[in-house]
Amino acid sequence: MDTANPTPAKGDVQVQVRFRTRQTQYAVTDTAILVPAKLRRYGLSEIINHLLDSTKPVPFNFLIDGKFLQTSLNSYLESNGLSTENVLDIEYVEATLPPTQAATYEHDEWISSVAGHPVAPLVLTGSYDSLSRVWDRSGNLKAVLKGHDGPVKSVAWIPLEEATGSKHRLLTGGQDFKLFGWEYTNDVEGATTRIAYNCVGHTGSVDAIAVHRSGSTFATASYDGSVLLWSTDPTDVEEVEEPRKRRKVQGDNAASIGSIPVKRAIKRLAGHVGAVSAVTYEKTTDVKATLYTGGWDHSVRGWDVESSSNTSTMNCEKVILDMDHSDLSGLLVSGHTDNLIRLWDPRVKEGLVVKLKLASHSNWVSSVACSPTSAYAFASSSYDSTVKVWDIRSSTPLYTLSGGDAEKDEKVFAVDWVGKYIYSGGEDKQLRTFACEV
Amino acid sequence: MKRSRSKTRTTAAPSQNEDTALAATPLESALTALAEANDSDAAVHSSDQAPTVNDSDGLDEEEDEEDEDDDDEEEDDGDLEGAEDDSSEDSEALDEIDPDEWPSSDDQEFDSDDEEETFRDNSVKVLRRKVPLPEIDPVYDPDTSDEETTNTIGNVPKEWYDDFPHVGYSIDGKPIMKGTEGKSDQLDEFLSLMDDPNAWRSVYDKIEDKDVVLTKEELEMVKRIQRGDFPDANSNPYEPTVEWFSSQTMVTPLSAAPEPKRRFIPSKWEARRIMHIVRAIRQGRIVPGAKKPKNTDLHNQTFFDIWGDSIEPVDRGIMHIAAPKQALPDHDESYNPPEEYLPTEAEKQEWKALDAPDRPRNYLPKKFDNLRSVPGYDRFIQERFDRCLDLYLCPRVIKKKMNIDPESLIPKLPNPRDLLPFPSALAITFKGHTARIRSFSVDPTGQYMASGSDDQTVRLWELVSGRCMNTWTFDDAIASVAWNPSKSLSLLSVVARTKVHLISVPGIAGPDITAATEALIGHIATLQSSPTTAALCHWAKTSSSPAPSSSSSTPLPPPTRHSAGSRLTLTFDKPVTYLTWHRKGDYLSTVCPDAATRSVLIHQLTKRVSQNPFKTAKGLVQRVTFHPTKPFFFVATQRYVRVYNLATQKLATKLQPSTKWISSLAIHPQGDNVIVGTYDKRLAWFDMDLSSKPYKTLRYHKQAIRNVSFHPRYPLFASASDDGNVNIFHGMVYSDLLMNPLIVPVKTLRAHQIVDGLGVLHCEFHPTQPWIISSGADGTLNLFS
Repeated sequence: MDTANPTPAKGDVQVQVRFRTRQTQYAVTDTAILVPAKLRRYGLSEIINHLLDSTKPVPFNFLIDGKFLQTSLNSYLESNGLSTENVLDIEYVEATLPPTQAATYEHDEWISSVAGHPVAPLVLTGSYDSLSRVWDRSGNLKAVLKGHDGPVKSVAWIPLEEATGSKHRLLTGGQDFKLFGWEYTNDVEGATTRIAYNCVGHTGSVDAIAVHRSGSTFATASYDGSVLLWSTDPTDVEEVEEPRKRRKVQGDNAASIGSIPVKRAIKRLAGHVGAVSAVTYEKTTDVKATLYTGGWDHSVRGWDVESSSNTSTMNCEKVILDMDHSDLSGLLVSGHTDNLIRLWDPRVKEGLVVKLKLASHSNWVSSVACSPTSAYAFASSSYDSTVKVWDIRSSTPLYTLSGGDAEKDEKVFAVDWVGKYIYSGGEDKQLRTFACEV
Repeated sequence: MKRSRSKTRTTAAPSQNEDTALAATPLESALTALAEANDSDAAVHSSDQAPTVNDSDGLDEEEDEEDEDDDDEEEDDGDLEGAEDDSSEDSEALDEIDPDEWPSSDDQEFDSDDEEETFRDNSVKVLRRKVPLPEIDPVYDPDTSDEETTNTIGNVPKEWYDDFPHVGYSIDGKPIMKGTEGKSDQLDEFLSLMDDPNAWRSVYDKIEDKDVVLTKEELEMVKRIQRGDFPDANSNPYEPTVEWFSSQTMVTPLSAAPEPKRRFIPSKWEARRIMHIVRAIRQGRIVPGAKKPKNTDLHNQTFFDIWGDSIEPVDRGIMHIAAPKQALPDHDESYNPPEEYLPTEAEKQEWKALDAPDRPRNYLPKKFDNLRSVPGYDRFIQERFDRCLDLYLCPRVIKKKMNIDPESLIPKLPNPRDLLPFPSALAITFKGHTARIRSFSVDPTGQYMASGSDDQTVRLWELVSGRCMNTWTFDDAIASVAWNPSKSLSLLSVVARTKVHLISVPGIAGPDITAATEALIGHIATLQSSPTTAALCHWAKTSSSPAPSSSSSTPLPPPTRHSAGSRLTLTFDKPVTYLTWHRKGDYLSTVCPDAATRSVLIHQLTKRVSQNPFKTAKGLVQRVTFHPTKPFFFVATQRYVRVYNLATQKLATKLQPSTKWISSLAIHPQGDNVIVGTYDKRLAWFDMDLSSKPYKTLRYHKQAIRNVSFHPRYPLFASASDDGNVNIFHGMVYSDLLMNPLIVPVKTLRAHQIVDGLGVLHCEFHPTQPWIISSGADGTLNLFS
């Protein structure tokens, strides 16, 4: 029987499959076995568990040709025009449990940006009340960073060698064109913060910060269309004696600002026409790591940092709101105003650089974050008040998490994925934490 | 007519009877008679009747031969059918004329007349013949006929000169003496005759009165005449004949005369038929004038085949529409239908339960034992009525349908999908206002937006997040909000009834820009207003902090709320409805429609001067706009858009949208095209190079258009309407002046709820992205991407 003429007794159709896995602890026999074609993921999972003789059933996901099996085998064969006489190669991986919401941390105002500390159990949020906050994972507000005059639009941790210690450094950029480098110390008596330097150079709101994996340099993107490169070295500053007059408005934290050393940018990367809204480093410790920026001129540009030259320009049709690079897959993930997530392969020099377009969000994709552990997974947040977890092997999102009240159109502005946690923040004024095993 | 007919007869008949020798054929004689008739009748006969006359005459000949009594001349002017149709009067006339009345054959006077006629005819014939004469040879000729006589007295009797010595006068008027002097008597004459050797051949010339000696040739001629020969020796009476008129048809005929009627040969067979009819009439078989008897011959009659399948055979013309056919009776209409046609009880009930028009049949099949027990047909009246109704309502006229493919009428427009990008989906809703938002403005960088509402507040929004950054409260509803288009300033203008506030917006621009804005406003405050300016409006600076009194009622400010910013206020006498900036940001224009001649004012910011450009009010001013590149100023009144040249201070153009009430106006960034939105639902596109009439008028809205807008970069324009929709159009203007702008409607955005009959009040494109923002009566702003 062939696929063109499916047999009436559909349930009885059997198909030869060969199972394989990369997770050696779950390896089964290599020989092809006949299974009913009507089986779906659950049935196949049962077969694997049966073959494994495991006492406690382990859920599995199944991949055929690098794509998740989301239907029955039969309909997969039909949709792909395959014969049931073929031997199907099915790869299986242990299914992860859906992310669970771990905790929510209340804020006073909308959260514009979220950054999880890569090592320490700390989360940094920037908010529209011009404050940045440091939280630990148990929900304690460790520190409130006052310095900005306008909403904080971007925050980032600087990974340090001695990151496990109590001293951390972080960056905040605001809509008031300011960019501060902070020093965060968590002592026994409590956490203290101090503005290490004030980065002067931007003439627009600082919308995105990317820190090099080595922690030596960072790049910022601004609405004024400029991308600036900075050194993280706190000693590389100009001392300014006189505090700015405007600071008096803040009153209470005027003392903490005092005289702030001013830092100047190392390099200025000019090329974008219009606002730059996304910036990300290639995630290697290599000094020559490429910097990618995306902006309102609908282009993704790759920069050679050393020569500060624009090495590649990739265009699409829509504004890029956020971008992230996955070191494991080498792909760039970007969120757009046409509700799509685009996956770019920056290594491709010719032809189609947009490898994949993922559509599921019903509004602008405000932020994306790649999984630090999986080459396939990433998370995205959108103005449709959802956070979605994707696997690029599947055209539909794996999980959809609530990032706000959809009834009230609460937008999610930021998402970050650090370790096993996904952090999101938005209009609902809550920092949401999701534990994710993917 | 009758008179002429009889005359013809009387003149023609004798020739027929007598002159067979002269007129060899009946045709000849007929023609002769005709000629006679024509002469005497003063051409009463028309030319086409004449042959008929001849015809009948010819017939007579035959009749005579048959020795019949011929009175059929009466038929001479009638055609063949005329014989039957002649009135009885005519037939009576026929009877009256007895053949004996015909002129007798021995009527000599006619005979001679006829002969004369014939001769004359012949002579005519001879005269017509053109004999080619030999050329005249100019040598000596004995012919003296052309010799000039010297005597000029002319042809007068000679006796008049008997008593004179001369016989006449020469051409010079001198008398010509008589030549007979000296020959006074016969003897002298005789003697001179004897003396003169030429006397024998001399001839006396009376006119000259002298003897003329004949030449030898003349003598020869005299001799030939005496012999009875031709006088000319060269003339040959026996020349070979030339057949000029032969049976051969020449390409160019010698004579252009039409064929003479005498050549006409009547048809023998026609004559036979006529005679047949004449005989029939005479014998009474045909009664002229009698009605045709009905054809009772069943074999030849045509009957309508009522049992035939086709009822087509009658041709009633192309336009005839056959009456609708009646349905043929079915099996179940039989009085004795087969069992399977009889309804069951359930079917009967079902049939009865239905309404009459819903029933598939309007009867129930019934079975009767025999034809005898079939009752009267109860549906007869109804059926006849229905049939009559069918016939009454059936179409009678074939309507000509225009066979036009409707697709071909639609202009060929590109697919909207090929015209991407354009805003298509709602992205962000800006919530906060509690009343209708009449106006908003996106700042020149495209990062912020200020909106003014009827709830007397102006809100500042961050565009991409929908975050309200700041709120200002005023004393009146906000009519208009506009950013200063200069990127080096962060200056917002707000129209609150009679006041125009210019606010330096803090916190959204860099310190240098903020400082520049503050300085500009402060600088203005230091200037003294001129009296002319003071007459138009009042300029005043409001302190920046603490918050001015007008914004004291600000609700709990958000934590990030900036200081209210310093302000400059322009106070007018009448409410201001609209405000617009010049592209460079120094001039602004305000509209107070109620202020009559001072309805449009132009203010200069740096010099703090207000001026009134128009001395007279042209109408209720709706909108004003500065041209994006040239020193033109557009003023939209209720009916027209006037374009003034600010450099020459003259009216440049007057655009006529031919609508009742203009609501809004927008100018293409290149400046050559203008769109005008009207309250009567239309959008008019003007090509200023083309005409003062609209290039296209678009009507896509169901309600009044409130605002129209061009995208500053993309080829897009939009119209916002009270029906709650924003329509997006692709409006491509080509740099090639020969190409007309391409206008394609691409998207209808359902933007806002309709509240109190108002829908979308304002729409504006993002300065850099293909996004549109709309504000509505429902107190929200929507961004579409």
